[in-house]
Amino acid sequence: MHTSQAPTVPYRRLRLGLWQKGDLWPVGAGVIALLVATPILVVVSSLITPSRAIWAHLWHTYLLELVWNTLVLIAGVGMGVLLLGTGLAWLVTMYRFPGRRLFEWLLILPMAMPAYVMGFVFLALFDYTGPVQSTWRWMFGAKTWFPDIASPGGVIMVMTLGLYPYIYLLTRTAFCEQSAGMVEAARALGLGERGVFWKVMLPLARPSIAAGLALALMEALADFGTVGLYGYSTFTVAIYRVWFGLFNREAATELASVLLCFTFGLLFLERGLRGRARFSQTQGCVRPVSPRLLVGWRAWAAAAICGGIVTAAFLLPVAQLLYWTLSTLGGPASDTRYPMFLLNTLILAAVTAFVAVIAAVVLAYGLRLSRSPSIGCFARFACMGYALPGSVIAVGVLLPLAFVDHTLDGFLRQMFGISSGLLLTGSMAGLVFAYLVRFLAVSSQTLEAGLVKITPSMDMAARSLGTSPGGVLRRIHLPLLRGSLGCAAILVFVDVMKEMPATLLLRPFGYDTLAVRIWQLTSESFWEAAALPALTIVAGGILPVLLLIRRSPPAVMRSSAMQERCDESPLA
Amino acid sequence: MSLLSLEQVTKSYPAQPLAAVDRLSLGLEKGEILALLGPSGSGKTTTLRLIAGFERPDAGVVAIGGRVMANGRMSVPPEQRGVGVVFQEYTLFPHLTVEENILFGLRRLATPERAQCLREMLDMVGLGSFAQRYPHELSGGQQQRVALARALAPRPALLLLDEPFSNLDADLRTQMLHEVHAILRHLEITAVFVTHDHEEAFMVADRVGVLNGGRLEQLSCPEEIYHRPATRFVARFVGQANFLPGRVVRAGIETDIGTFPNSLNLPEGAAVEVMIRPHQLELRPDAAGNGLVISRRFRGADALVIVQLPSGMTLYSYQPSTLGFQAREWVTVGAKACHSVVFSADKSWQEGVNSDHANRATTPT
Repeated sequence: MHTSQAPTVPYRRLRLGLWQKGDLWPVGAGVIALLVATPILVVVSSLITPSRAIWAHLWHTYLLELVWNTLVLIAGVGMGVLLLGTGLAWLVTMYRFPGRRLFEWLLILPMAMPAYVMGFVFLALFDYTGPVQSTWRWMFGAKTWFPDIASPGGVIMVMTLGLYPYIYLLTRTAFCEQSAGMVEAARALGLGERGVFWKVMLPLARPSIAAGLALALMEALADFGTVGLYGYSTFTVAIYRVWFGLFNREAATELASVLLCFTFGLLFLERGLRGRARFSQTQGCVRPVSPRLLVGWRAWAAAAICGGIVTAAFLLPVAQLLYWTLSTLGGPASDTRYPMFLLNTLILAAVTAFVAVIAAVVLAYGLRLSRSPSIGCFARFACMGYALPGSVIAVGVLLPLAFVDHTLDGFLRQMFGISSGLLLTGSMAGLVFAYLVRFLAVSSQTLEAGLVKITPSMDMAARSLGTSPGGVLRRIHLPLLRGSLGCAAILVFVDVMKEMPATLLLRPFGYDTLAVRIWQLTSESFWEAAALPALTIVAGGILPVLLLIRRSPPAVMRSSAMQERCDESPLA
Repeated sequence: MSLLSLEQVTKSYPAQPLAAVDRLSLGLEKGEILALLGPSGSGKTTTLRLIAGFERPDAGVVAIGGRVMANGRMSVPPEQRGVGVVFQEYTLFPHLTVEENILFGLRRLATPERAQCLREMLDMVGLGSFAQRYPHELSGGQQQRVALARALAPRPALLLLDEPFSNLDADLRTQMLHEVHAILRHLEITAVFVTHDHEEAFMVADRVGVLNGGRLEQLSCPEEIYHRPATRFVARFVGQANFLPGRVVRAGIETDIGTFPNSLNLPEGAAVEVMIRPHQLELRPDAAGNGLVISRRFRGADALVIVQLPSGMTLYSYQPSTLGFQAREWVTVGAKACHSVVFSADKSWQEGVNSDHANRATTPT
């Protein structure tokens, strides 16, 4: 077949650490990393080989508007979450006031709510026909001005309320880990309380703040439901529109590649903000900063601020969803096909969680065995999927899968005269693969965090006692990693439940999930009917939040958190 | 035929210019205990890992019981080598009980044999009543014993111990040292153990190999290593040492504190250095003496007395703490050496450039 001279690869180059003949773990890891990296590479390559005609068309139509809207969104949401996230973290770590211990974790709860759920609840509440405006007009007359919720300001407000927990969580951990000694040293050197915050604590927490900011903004970029509902044109909306409206996949890919640029920009920004300084403080046990007691109106103001945010960002929307659900239960507005959507969602989420955990195990174990820098590099690249919006991944997944489908179909037709049809793109397989690309980072980083706690000498001990690599995994790693495996599965499961744009673009025809259903119903203003699916997603979303709360530093015994530095950021 | 033999074994890591293990050769007879002694980074743990199969050599041959386990082209995986390993941090499997830990390597045995082996092992390490405990419910010394029992249960041909005593308190360490030594002797186990503590090495091992920069500096019995170090590095690593400059004359080797016998028959006129251990130095109060006491530090049983010679050279000596030397007191310095250890003053002879640098930490301060 191949008559050309094959390049001779030196045998030694192929050798990988403890890798023995017949040991396929590193190969498996490499294959998974490569597979998952493919869609990202597809989108990147379309950036490198732009199509002039499409770009000209995009330029003349909506490219500028998209870029401008995206920049406004990033700037607005960025400022909002910075202010809210760091401010609240500062408040609950540095001061004691009524309800502080409760607020410490209540403030994380909005994480359970996808932005699009919060978005439609707020839209329904504050819309012209909604209860708030109706009351307003009833009180002050029909002509009184009221801010329009379906505006850039509205989108930014909703996303800020939904995404501030990323910064809050990471910054609070960073503040908790700072030692009282550091603060006392600063005070002894003549800084006031405010000076300590601005000159010591905030700069020390900078890497965490940067990581949280990057996470929040990536979520904002990836969001489709909110911006779509509010009529705010960003890239995700445009990709959806040219995909389904114009069936122009090339244009969708080009748009996805621009969105990818924004994401990469954020990643670089985060690295830049992290800076070169070392931020980790002295190892071992630190005496944590002791919060100062607030008295009088200050105490109540602090409680009111926290209470207000929790109410607006979580309690109020949940109450509204509950109200709608209960009021429509069994009535004509209720969705009789809800059990089917729920089942669809659960199946999809369970299958993906299973696949993602298996893939993460193979990836992590292969890496551990081989220690090959090239596979490690690929694995890191594969884990970038988490930073990419679902729409970008959908676009990147579809092109290679369609190619495989067509090739396979053509081959089967030619050889056997049968057609395989759209084996991958038309089925759940394509969707699960897209989720895998997006969420592999979630499962593999959770697993990695558990795996690094198992010292390599544990493997060696088992090997020296006559156990093969697979046996070490089965008899040592998996039993020790049970907690991490469960954690990883839950996180992926819930993320899949919430994911909207990738599902919308890739689902098999007629296969609707809860998220898809929410989009269909809310885009036609059937708020009440969308409440039950939304409530289901929120209930699922609370699971990972509970996991987070269990792992984040408790109020009193904070010093132990130094050991398990809670690096929730998948970018770290 | 040696039970373990290393021939010209070389291992280097990427991004490190010097080889971690450099053309290392040694052989070990059945039932012998070898200590690999060296500072951190000297390649002693890498050597252990090469023997166990956790690393593959770039070149050279590792053979156990006459079977080639690794050469530059192949490497038998660790699970097929029949080598037991005891790790520095014990690495007991935290999800398994003491019993399950010890039985971990015995899956291929029939149940009655396993039960008997378990009983023997538990009796041997004196942990019979702890079989159902989990590792975190044991003290450091008990964990160490379980780790030993686990490694010995499959009857390995060779036992490797990686700094097995370094995580123990000083008292417990000595006790465990004796226990482990007794067990190894009783079972006639061939063992290689790695340590950076020369006293540990001297107490346990039949032979000691001193490693420096990946190379074997000396491989001999403990007495030989201490009293007749082959290189300046070995001399300093296994205890404090003074190096007195001297010159070979007809009567012997002439130094500032007297003349030493020229036992090596060095050519007359050669510039050399004589190694003297601090406790070999004798100080006598003498107003017309050749040494000036600079300082005296009480240490308990003895005192460290630092003396300066007219040449400016300072010597470290240990004197019984009952002798009260004062700073600025003149003394006569002599040596009670039965043999002299002599090195060429020419640095390039016998040792590399690194050795002096690597071992500065052992000089008393």
